[in-house]
Amino acid sequence: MSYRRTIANRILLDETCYLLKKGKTVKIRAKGDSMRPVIHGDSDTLIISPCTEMQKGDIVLAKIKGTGYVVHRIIRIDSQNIYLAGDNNLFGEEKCNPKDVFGIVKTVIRGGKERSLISGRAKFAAKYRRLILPLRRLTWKISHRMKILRSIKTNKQA
Amino acid sequence: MKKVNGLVLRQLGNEYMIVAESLDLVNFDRLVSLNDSAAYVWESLGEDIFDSLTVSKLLTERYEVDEDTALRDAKELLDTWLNAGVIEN
Repeated sequence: MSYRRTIANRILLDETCYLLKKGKTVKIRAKGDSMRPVIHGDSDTLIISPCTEMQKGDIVLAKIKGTGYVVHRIIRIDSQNIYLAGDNNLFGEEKCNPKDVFGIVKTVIRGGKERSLISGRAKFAAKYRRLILPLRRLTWKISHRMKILRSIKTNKQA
Repeated sequence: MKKVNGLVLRQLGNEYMIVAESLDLVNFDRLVSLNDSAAYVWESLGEDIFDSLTVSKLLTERYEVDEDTALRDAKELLDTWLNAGVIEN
């Protein structure tokens, strides 16, 4: 007889949001690589605090319509919406209502050590990565084009 | 043995898990999730002191299982909970 089960991530995040709304802080294992190098999925642990106020540059847990939960960085805020993007995502952004932002990730635990995500150094590094995003996109496009050309050449030789 | 203070069983869809709701920091990194039978045992134990015999009795009362199997399962369950830190001696 087995007494343990794996809880689906969506269910776990529903519960996380419920607890955040009650004012609790939650420790949860990170998933995915969209926030690399700041957050490593499946190895880092996130400490998520209730979101009392938010600003551009913060990493937040939000629920996106049609996508589900994401832990991404705020890249823009306007009068009605919050815009998010993963640090490691070259393209695309998510939009949500401020009420769909449930928590803010201030600390990540990696290898037993706590790292602040709101320190001046961490914020500077994030700004720098955002600044060089056009260059990262260009590098990706060139490398992608090269792969296609190489594949065509190989097919012709065959 | 007894349950560690402040833990509650929450049903999330078809899943159950033990959550330390009374703490300011809830740790899902070491999550304790339960299937139906383990959740039944957890709820039935209440706030009382218990041992593997108490748990095996609960299992035989509810499920069609012989006493030896129930006792073996009860010990396995309590070991899992002890290791997870949700019960204490």
